[in-house]
Amino acid sequence: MVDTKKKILVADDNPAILDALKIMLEEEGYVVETTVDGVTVQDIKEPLPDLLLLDIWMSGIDGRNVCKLLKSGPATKHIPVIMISATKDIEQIAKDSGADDCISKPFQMEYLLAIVAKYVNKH
Amino acid sequence: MKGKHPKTALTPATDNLQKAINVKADMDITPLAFQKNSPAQSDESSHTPRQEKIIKLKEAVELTQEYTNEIISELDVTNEELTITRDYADAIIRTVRGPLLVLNKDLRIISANEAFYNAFKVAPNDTENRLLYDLGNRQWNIPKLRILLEEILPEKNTIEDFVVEHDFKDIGQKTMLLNARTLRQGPDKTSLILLAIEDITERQQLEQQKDEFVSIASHELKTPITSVKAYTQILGQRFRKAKDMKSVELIEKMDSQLDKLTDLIGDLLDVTKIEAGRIQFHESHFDFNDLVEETVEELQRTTEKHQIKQELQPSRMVYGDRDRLGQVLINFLTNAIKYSPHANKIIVSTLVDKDNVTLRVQDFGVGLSLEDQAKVFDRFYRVGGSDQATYPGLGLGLYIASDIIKRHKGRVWVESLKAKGSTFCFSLPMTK
Repeated sequence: MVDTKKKILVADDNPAILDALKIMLEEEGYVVETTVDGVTVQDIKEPLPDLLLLDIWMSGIDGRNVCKLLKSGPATKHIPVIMISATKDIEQIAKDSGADDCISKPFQMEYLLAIVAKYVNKH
Repeated sequence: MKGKHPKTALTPATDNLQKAINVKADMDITPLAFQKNSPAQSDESSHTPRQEKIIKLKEAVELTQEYTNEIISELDVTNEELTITRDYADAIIRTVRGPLLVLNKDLRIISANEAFYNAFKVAPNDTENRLLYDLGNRQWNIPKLRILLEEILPEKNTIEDFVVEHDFKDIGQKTMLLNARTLRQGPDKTSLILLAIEDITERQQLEQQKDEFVSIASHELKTPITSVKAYTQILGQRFRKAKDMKSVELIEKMDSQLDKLTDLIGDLLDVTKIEAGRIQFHESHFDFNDLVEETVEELQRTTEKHQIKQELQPSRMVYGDRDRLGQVLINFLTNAIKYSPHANKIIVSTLVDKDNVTLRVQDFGVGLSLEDQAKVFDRFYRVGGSDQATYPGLGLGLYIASDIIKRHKGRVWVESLKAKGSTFCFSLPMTK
């Protein structure tokens, strides 16, 4: 369990994946906020999340651009971004977009929780 | 070639003519003018030598005429054969659906077929006797093609599957596949160039559409699997917390089936990537035995029936894509398990020498016929036969495996005996 509740924002255009991720992370003690609309992530305001789980292809918006934007904004560039996608080239995409790490879909729960814990606690 | 060589065709008739000439020569003909004083011929039955000579001469003339006729008729046959051959070549050029050009050595067009005129929307008048590069809006004046026709063709005499992408006058942006061949013709051996042009624009587009489709389809299929797998794991954790181990076991089985489904989708995607040459490798140095032991441990969990024995020689560091090589090993092991349902042992061994590290996965199962051994690494190939038809699979695993090994500059092969079992092997070169 996490000592002080860390806040995680999850952006994915698939409601079932969002639902499952929310349950998973909440059972681990995180405060989870989800959005199916990638556009809203571009202009997140205070209180900022401690970590962003970001899908790449989100109905009309490209996760790569969202990531680049956040990583170039002074207020948001410190937020760890983990890209999550079923695309096979995810490693390259994550690197090119300046994301901190990536997880490919479908994922092992233990692996996802380990990655999240690693970056949340760094922050 | 169908036509006979003129010299051999005429030999019998020419020989006969020569014989006739010899007969004439043998007669030692004295010009008639010098024989005026010879005794007159009165007796019909007894010919004077002069009469004899005349008769022989007549015979020789007749014979010569006969044989000359024979030669003429044979010449006609040869002519006819030549016409047939020319018609034959002409018919081929006109029949092929792909555009075909016949050029002389200066790259001037001697003839073109109907398909060429149709494909490039041009008329014979604008084509024949003109230089290839001057056609249309000089659309064939492509630097790479010039090098090919002017430098490579004279040396190699053939060009195979050269791709030209060009914005052609009247027909727009196209991708053409060119094949060319030099022909040496006639007594002075002047060269002709046959140039076949194939429009592969549509095929290429279809190929690309297929790749895109598979890529999108696999992404779409993975999305629901992701959520199902996530829910499955959440349930698993809840059962574990409640110490309901029977349910945990069921959930784990579900989870491993989901992994199989994911692997199948991965295979489909890999195949399109192999075809497009887009499979990417992330290479590094790693301990080979570590990978073997890890993979064997993972696969041992999937079978209760088989004991996977390891006979490993001292390990070496190998340079390559660890995950992809692991994928090959998983493929060999799952096949070994799948195709030896009545056996209880699988042997994984390694051989290390100064140049290579070789891995062998031996099973004691159904084995492969020689015919199947030759094709087992082919794409979509599945072992045939009634007893084999019951084994599931897409026929992609070994094809992908062999591509991965080949891309590591290694070798992949199988040794097998029907009903005795198979040993699948690969060897990787040691990097110096």
